[in-house]
Amino acid sequence: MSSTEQGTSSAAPAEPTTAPESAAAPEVPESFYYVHGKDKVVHKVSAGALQHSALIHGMISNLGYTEEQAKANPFPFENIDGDILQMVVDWCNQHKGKPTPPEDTNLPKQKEKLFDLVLAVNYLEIKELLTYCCKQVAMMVKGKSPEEIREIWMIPTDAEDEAAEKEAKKRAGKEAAGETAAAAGDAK
Amino acid sequence: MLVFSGNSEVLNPRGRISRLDFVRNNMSIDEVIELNDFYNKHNLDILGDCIKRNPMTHPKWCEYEGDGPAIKVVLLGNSYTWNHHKMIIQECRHQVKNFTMDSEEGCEPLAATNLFPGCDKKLEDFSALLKAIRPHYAFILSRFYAVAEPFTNNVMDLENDRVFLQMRAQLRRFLPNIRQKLYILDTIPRVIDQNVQNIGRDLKKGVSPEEISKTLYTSDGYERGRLRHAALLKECFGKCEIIDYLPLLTKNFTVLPQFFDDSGISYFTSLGHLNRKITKKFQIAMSKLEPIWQNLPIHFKTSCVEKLDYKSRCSLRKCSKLDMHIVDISSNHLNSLAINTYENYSFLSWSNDGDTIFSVKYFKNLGESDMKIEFSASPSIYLPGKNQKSIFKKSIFLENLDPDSDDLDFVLSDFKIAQKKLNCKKSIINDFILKEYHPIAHPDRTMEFRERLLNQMTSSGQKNQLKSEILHLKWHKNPEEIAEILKIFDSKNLKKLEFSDRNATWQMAEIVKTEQWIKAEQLWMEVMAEDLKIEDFRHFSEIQMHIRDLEEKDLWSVIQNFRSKNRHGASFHFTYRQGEPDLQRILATFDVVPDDKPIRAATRIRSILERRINHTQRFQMPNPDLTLVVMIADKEVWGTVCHVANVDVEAKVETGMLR
Repeated sequence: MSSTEQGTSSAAPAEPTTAPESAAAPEVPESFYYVHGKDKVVHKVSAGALQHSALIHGMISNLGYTEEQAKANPFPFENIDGDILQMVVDWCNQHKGKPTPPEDTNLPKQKEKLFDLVLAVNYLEIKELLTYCCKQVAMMVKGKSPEEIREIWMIPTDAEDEAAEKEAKKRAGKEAAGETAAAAGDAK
Repeated sequence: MLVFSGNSEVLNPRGRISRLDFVRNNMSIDEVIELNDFYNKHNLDILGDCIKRNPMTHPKWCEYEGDGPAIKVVLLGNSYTWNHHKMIIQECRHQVKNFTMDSEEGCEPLAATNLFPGCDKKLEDFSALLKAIRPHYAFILSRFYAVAEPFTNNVMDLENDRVFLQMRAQLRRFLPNIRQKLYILDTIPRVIDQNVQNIGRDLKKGVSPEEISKTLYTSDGYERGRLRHAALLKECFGKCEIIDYLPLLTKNFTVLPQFFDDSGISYFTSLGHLNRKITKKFQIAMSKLEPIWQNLPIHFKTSCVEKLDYKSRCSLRKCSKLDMHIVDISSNHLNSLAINTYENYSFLSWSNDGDTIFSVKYFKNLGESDMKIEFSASPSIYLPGKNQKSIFKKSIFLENLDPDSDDLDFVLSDFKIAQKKLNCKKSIINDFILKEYHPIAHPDRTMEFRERLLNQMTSSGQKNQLKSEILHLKWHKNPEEIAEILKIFDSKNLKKLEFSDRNATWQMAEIVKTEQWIKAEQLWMEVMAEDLKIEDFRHFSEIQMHIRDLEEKDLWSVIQNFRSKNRHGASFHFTYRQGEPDLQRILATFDVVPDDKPIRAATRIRSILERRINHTQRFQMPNPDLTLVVMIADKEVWGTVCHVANVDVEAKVETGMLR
């Protein structure tokens, strides 16, 4: 129900191709909207699929866009990486109008991707997908020791945190002193 | 996590802030030429404070100390490693404790070229370095030789490609020793190095950038390296990331890559190495804040914590102050939790799911600074021949503890942590168990334990009531204390009360006044109640209790109460501890003709249990589908509201015999 193509900018999105509709097309034509992430790749998504996102659903519920208006005004999500937005769009399409199953095994196993997905899904307010992500994130540290959890989730110890903070302050102080010295030198 | 600020600025020796690549705004073409010459001159400068820890065995291993926390970084490769090391160290020295560099002319960490002798042996050395350091981050920064060699038989069949197979083998040796991330610099086209020095001068003469590019580029097959890297990335399990300069070189792409920026500043030196102008892009590529646990939304983190088993929660709680806070505000779903003390140790146990019981035994005496902790797991029900009695057991020893504390301090402290989690309004504890009180065996110790536990549970720090469906309480007779404990529990959740003090007689007046007693639905009392009246437990739909004796009129009152409740599954069971139920006098109270209709037990065990019953009377209920089955034995009377058609299965003959 959706497709993706390379766009150029949010103001002039590329023309997305329409994916083949299922054989049994709905009687009432479904409305579509357009979204793009940081990479400006525009995704065409049905209103039904977008209902998963409380944020987007709230945005479009009173818009009453025509197809042309929707195409000309894709929703820009500049804070979401293109591949992550693609994952989200795919998930919304896959679960459009269906009850969500208890497990979702298609989530990324790679920590950074999963955490990026969490941030995006949280922003877009997709409750069910966030729950799946939550289970997967929890599974990463199940049965692990504190040292292992620190390593997996990259949690600094309090001592490391304090040392880093102290060092950052020291560094900022030095830089401020350098700037002052530079300004004084320029004044001469 | 390494964060590259990407602003390329450091304090220069005079205290002035300058860019790492020495580029300034609005540089004239002469200044550009001067800068390119400067790059060429300082082509392979190395930071001076390199420490060689193994000069005999590994003469090329070169260490630099950072002033950050315990993060370790390794840089591997050939001359490109030298080109990058200053920038990486300058950028990250406040985040990293130790940098180790290993750079060998012409040799690459992933595959060996024949162009430089010894590169095949160097593969071992690269691998040994990673094994020795076990870095959090490793960087492969190499000018390509082997990795972009022609494919075996000139066919891109990576499964039969000598170079790719060597890269794969090396990667498999590297990955177990890299804790977080391996960054690989992707291959980019080589520059015709002798013409690099002419870039600025040609531009000054008016030669077009396209014409200059022609003098700098020749086809060199760098694409094969990129193909191999791309394939290798799929075998990295998410641990590898590619750093790529190619987009920079092809930004103005027409036909050829451009090896210099719009002002004429070269990215390469006259030796074909990378200069600071291009490595600045490395900083930018690395500057994206890595998504980490700390950056996730707090409501998401609490949801994750709620999905963890109790042991994992405790582990996370130890990671940092922030995580301790997250755990403490997250709901804790336990099936059961128990605390106890014995003569030589104290005991805390819990079950996440009701199937497996985890327990911790604390062995510590006053005056000693060591403690033995025994951690074990066992099935909640041991079925000989079907499961193991113990799933695992392990002991650890903690040293340098406060000699003024004993095992009670530790078990109570850990129990307090569990209580903290129970403070949360969202907590749901299905089975909260306080049990195994042994006042006779170790009176002094158990009295102390009871007093301290009570103080802790009822202290002013207890802000919210504990949420539990069942409270199993084994406590010595002291109605005020028991009432106090009851009040700790949220009456909205508390459905079942279990009291155990087999040889004692309790005064119930204070207890039955509590909201928790009034609102509970099930009662299990293995204790003699001195002053309990029928009215006090009329509201329970399931009753199992020990009684000294029960007058026939009171039993009849109970039967009538259960008939009027008209609730399927409701039941009562009385164990007579002193008197005995008088069958004839009981039957005389009934408003129906006595009619002994025993159940037909479907199983052998039910059949055996049923044999102790002297009389089975069935009573009609307001709901014609239900019947109350009252059974009278020598020392017991019980009743169950069953479906008429299902009496043989539903009548609770096991009650009082099997727990």
